Amino acid sequence: MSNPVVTKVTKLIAQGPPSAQAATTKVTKFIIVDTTVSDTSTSARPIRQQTHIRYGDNS
Amino acid sequence: MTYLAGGHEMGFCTPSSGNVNESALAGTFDTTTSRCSLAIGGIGDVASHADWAFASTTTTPNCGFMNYGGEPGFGGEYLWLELNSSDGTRQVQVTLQRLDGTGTGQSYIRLYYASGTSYTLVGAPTLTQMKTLQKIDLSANFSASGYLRLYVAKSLLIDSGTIDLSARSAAAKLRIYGAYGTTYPSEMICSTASTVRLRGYSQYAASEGADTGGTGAYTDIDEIVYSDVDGISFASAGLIHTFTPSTSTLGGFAVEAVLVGARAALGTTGPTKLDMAINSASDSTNHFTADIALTAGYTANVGIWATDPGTSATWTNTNASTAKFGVKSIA
Repeated sequence: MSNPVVTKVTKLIAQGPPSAQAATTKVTKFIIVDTTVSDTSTSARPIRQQTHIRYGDNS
Repeated sequence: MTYLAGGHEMGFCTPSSGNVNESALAGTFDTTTSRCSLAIGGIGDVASHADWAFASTTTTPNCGFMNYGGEPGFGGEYLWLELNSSDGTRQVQVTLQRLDGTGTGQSYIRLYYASGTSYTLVGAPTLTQMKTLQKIDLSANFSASGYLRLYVAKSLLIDSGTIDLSARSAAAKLRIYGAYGTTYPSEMICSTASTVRLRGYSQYAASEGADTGGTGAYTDIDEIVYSDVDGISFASAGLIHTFTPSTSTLGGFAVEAVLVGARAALGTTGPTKLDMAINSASDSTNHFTADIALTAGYTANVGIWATDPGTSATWTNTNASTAKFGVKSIA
């Protein structure tokens, strides 16, 4: 009695762009807008008022 | 003003909510302008740091971004913002430190500059509310009559006054990272002048554009989380692939610049460079950046158009929001 023939079949699934080629995997666009002309100055502004909460030694 | 970098889905940034589905919202952000917030790496985890390389070095670096501080928990400075020189040396640093257990979102914000091997604190640690989506802007001038200014919600919070920062090396990149908790930055803008008045709108590929060169489709590059499992590949030079952007309503805001970002790499053969492409309705013609050299590993690359290349004039809101965008392979 001969031994049974064992056959293994595999399927190759390519993942990602071919490594031999230049590729991009993400492309986005971004638009920068000026929200207010009146707020362009970098000069001193009123310091924001903060509620000073002390909790432990975080100073 | 020269724009140095911008965006928030730049190919090295991932949403901090863990949402990985394509075209799904993720994080805590302004949904009218963005579709996700950034994930940031932990301290010591250099590989996941988000470096934003500038288009050119500058001694007047300005950076702005939207931030949501999340729920305070354990101590620790949980967001660091750095202006670094080209060799990665830290020149200026901003830290946010939540207050343990208050649950109020009150956090200390500190501003430092490098001084020899140590860091000099500018002003005093200042309390601010981080559990609110608000804008943080840093303005620096590395000169003998220099300054450091930090704005929160468009108000000047920490001001160095005039200080000698002439020993600082020119800034070449912005780095953000954090630890010990959640924080949600988005809409990064870097320029050579104040970013206080600026906001950013993010658009992704909603459909194909006029060109479909290369192998792959817009669905392979539109994810929120970058995924190198799929993409568009280019076997030869001169291939163009453009995309139609998702819809953004810019309202009455004046457009300052349009940027295109791409996560890209070269292969073992074939094209070695990439151009970013923009196609405005003003002339319906593809316009390209200078060639950008790619590396074997994926990197984030950006092209910046401060004016409409079809008219060489200021962008109209319609043309900025509808302009197709993409890439071109270069030998």
